[in-house]
Order: sequence, then C-alpha cells, then structure tokens
Amino acid sequence: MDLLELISHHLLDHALFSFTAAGHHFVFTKHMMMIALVSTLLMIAIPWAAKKAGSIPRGFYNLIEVYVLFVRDKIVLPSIGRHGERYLGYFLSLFLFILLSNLLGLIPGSAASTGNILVTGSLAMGTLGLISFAGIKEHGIWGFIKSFVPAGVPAALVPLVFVLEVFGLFIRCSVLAVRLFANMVAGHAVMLLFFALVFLIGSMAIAPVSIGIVIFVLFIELLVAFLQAYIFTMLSAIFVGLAVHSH
Amino acid sequence: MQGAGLVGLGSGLGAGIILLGAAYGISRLTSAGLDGTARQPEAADNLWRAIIVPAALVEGLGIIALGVCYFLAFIVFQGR
Repeated sequence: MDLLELISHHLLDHALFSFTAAGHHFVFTKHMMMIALVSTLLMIAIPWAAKKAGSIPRGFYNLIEVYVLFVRDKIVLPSIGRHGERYLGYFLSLFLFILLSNLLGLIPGSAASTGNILVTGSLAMGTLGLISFAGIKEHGIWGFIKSFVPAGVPAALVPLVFVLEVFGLFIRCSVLAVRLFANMVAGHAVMLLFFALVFLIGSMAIAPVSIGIVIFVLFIELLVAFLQAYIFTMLSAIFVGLAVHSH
Repeated sequence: MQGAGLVGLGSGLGAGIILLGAAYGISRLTSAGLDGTARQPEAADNLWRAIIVPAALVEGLGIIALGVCYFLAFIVFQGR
C-alpha cells in the first residue's frame, strides 16, 4: 500500500455516501458528518444542562458552567469590555464547537472536522463578520472605515495605511484559520507517520517504540486540542475588542 | 547532480531549523514567565495570558513552516 495514499486517506476529506434527488447530486463527506455530529451533541447537551441554571451546580451542569464562566470571565469580558456579553453567544459556540471537534478527532476511526481548511476558514469568516458587525455597530459604517487609519497619519500616507490595514484584517483572520487547521493536521500526520513506520521498516520489531511514541503524541494532541480552541477564541475576542475600542 | 534528492534534504534541514527557532522562542517566553512568577507569585494569573497567547502564536508559525516542509517532502519529492 502506498504510504502517501494511506496518509492522505486519513487526513483528507472523502465522500461517505451520496444520492441523487430532484435532479441534484448530494454528496456527504466524513467531515460533514463530523460537523453534524458535533452540532447535534452540542444542541442536545447544552440546553439540557442549562435547564438547571440558577440552582446549586452539580454534575454535567457544573462542567458546562466551568466552560461558560471561563469564556465569559477570562476571554470575552477582558478583551471587549462592558458590552462583551452581547457577543458571548458567538464566542461560546465557537469555543465549544472547536473544542468538541478537536477532541472527537482524537478517537481512532473518526476525523477532526477542524482538520479541514474549509471548516476553519468558515470559522474565521464568521470572526471576520463579527469584527465588521461589532465595528459598524459601535462606530457607524463611516466611523468603522475611518477606524482603519489611526489618528496622526500624514495625509499622503493615508491610502497606503488604509490598504495595509484592510489587508492586515483579512490576513489576521486567515492566519487564525491556518493555525487551527495546521495544528490539527500536523498532530494526526505525526501519529500516522509513526504508525506507518512499522510498514516502512517491514518488521514488527519497531512496533513497541512506534506505539509508545504515538501514545505520547496523543497526549500532546489532547493538550493542543484545548489550547487551540482557547487561542482561536481568545484572538477572535481580541480582534473584536480592537474593532470596538479603536477610539 | 539531479536535484531530486536536494528537495528532500532541504525539507529535512528546514524542519530541523524550524524546530530550533520555535523551541528557542517558546523557551524564552517560559523563562520570562518563571522569573516573573518567582518574583511575585500573585502575578502568575496575569502573566498566564501574556505567555500563552504568544506561545501559541510562535507554535502556530512553527507548524505552518512545518507544513511547508511536509509539502516539499511529500508532494514535490513524493517520499522517494
């Protein structure tokens, strides 16, 4: 079996099943199924836990409350300030989706939907939309456009600075997407490479070393799953805070 | 000299140098964080944000560069 095909089968998205209905061909891929699974789990579990809001926290509600308070008190409010709670829904959804998606990707046989550049790109586009929406809501549309050029720039440089700042916004959101995607894919690629080491060498003698290293990388990937969810949400909050506070 | 092997060599050396850069950056951050926490243990919480965000940014750069090495090794050089 070709090494490249083996690894690309596990890392890339592939169609699971498809059907044709009403003259259109619908294809369902593995990452689409994983997104559906993560969304369904969150949509069932979080409202069920939130029904107990206001009582003494115990059990599953306590677990969710830890994350909610963490996102609210450590990520959203310090970065955005007073009316950060308006955007708390977006940041909570973002954080929990990325976290659950990263964690489910560690199960053998399933895939991480955040290991797809299109998925992380969509999340980054959502952040871009929120930055624009928050900036326009705070300063008005002309104020938002003016906020790209800081005060005190000489008039001759204003077009250059404006273009650079707009590019900077798009590039920062793209790097958000690429950072999450690259972290997820790199972790899985390393695990797959060490498993493939057994096939490359051809004997089972390397298997204990190989599996030991894979287990070690699996623990690191667990840390990376949490860290990358935190970093994506944190940077989104910082960018929204910059857009809201730019006076 | 055919040049096909040089791509593999380049991607391997590149990955090693990336590792040096990323590890140096993250260890500098960690050492500054430890110094600050040793001076004033109550500041550990405040320092946490200033350490973790730059550490993840540096690590992200390292992994993006590692992706370039993967691309060179597996798609240009095709793992021969």
